[in-house]
Amino acid sequence: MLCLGSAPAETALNSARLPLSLLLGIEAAGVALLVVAMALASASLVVPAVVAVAIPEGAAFALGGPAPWAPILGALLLAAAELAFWSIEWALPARESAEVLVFRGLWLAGLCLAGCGAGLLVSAVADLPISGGFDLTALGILAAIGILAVLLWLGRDALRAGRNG
Amino acid sequence: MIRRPTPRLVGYAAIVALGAYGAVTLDRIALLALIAPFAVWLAFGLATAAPPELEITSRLDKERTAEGEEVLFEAEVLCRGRVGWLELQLELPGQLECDIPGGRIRVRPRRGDAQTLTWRLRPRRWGAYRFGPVLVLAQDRAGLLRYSARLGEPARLRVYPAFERLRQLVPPARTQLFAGNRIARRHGEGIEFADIRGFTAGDRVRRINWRATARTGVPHVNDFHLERNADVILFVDSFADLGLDQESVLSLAVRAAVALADGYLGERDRVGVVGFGGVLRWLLPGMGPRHFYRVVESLLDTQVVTSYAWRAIDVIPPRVLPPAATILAITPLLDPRTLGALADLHHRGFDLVVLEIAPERFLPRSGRGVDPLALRLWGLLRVARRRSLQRAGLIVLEWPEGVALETLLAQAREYRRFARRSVA
Repeated sequence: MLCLGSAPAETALNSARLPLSLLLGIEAAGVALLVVAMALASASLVVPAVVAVAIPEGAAFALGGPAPWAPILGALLLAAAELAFWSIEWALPARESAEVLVFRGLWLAGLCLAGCGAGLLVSAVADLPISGGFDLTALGILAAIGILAVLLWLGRDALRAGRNG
Repeated sequence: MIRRPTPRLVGYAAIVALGAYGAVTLDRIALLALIAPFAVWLAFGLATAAPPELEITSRLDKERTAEGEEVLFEAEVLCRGRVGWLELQLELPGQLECDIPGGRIRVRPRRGDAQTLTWRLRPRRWGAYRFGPVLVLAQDRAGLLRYSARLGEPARLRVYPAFERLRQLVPPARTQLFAGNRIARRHGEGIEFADIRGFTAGDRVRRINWRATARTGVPHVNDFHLERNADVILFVDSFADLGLDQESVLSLAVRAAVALADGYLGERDRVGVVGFGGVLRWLLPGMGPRHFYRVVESLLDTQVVTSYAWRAIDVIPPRVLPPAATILAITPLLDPRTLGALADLHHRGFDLVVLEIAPERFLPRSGRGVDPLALRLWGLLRVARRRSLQRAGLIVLEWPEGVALETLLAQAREYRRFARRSVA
């Protein structure tokens, strides 16, 4: 999945004339880190591994790579990270009901598709021929603050780790 | 329940923050599109996260069982919150086999519905076990928060040893005053013929032996043996153990002790127990079916406790070792303290039979890591201990592999008969 996601990024990097070997090295290190995380069953290593894999893609998009690929790449990265978490969390032997597997699979597929859709929406909105200006910038800032506030409100319980029913 | 954020929550939040920062500073909307799936996952996950509100009621279908018999542990799970999945783990002692790998079950509980989960347990060895409550791990749907707790009630399971039924036992040398099935040496009221003697005042007329009276012209009566019970003390040496959990010296000793207790109590004898080891345990002699369970319960707690204290037999209360009791000692003769205690008991005049469990069978089959010379010396040391007891006049019977306890007891009976003849 990660290799699949890397293909368009490499095209973009070629066009941007970046030191391809360096970026591919970072990506390979990320894949190796992911393998180590799964071998050691260490969930805390998964996200750094995914970030390392995403660096070439991020660099490619920062340098003007093809934006339509971005949501798909994001969804693939998310799916890879989730499957890695899944492997680590369920590494220990247990009796599993099929219902759990179906639920997790559907939840993962659904949210990856939703995330991809959201990314495409962001790209589509960005492509709209709307010129800037003070009003639009202020609206953008307010929207960003609003999104941040919503995320903080949703995560208010999560930030307080401790005893709870 | 204890709630903790998972690495996923912190990691995804960092990815979203990094991507958003890059998009704003570099003015690239593609970076926002790249992190959009992670942002959506976080938003959905946090919006739907809620405490699981679990209630678990657990129970064992029986508190007492025998080795190898199946026991069911059931947990009824009622979930009132929203949970992605639930992992329930029953942490079991090594001697309890479970049909579920690792004792873990992963389920997706339906909100408000009670779900019953069953663990099938099979004890491989006797003992008193305590396990539970169930360790519960719950995650929300997106796996951002993890809840953990131990819920339900702890379970106590007492596993009785499987033992062979003995048809014949070692007859005690002396009997006691209570009525029983043993033929006493003393004469009195009974049904077992003992002797013919001259009539004395007070003898019953129905006991007159008419043939002897007619032949001698003097009235003679039949004499009978009294029928009495005996006191049997089971002496279990728990100073040292050798072998694996389910097949070890101590395990075999306890099984033999239970078999002997069952046999002697069936003969209406009084049976007591002395657990001689790092921790000294005893049970006063008693009789009847209820006492059998007392004996088994007292033996279930037998375990090797390391102690360097030199224990002598005089720490045991006198009531535990009644006069004229027969003591059956089950020991591997691995510890010299047992040797001293047995010699002390013999010197006090107790009728003593030693069943020596040969511990060689519990050594590793491969023989790896065992120096043959050390093994030979160890064997010779045990032979020397056995010989010293035999020289003192004790009956010491070695219990090798593949020999039934009944056969060993038959040897003891033969030995005793031979000893009587040789003394006569």
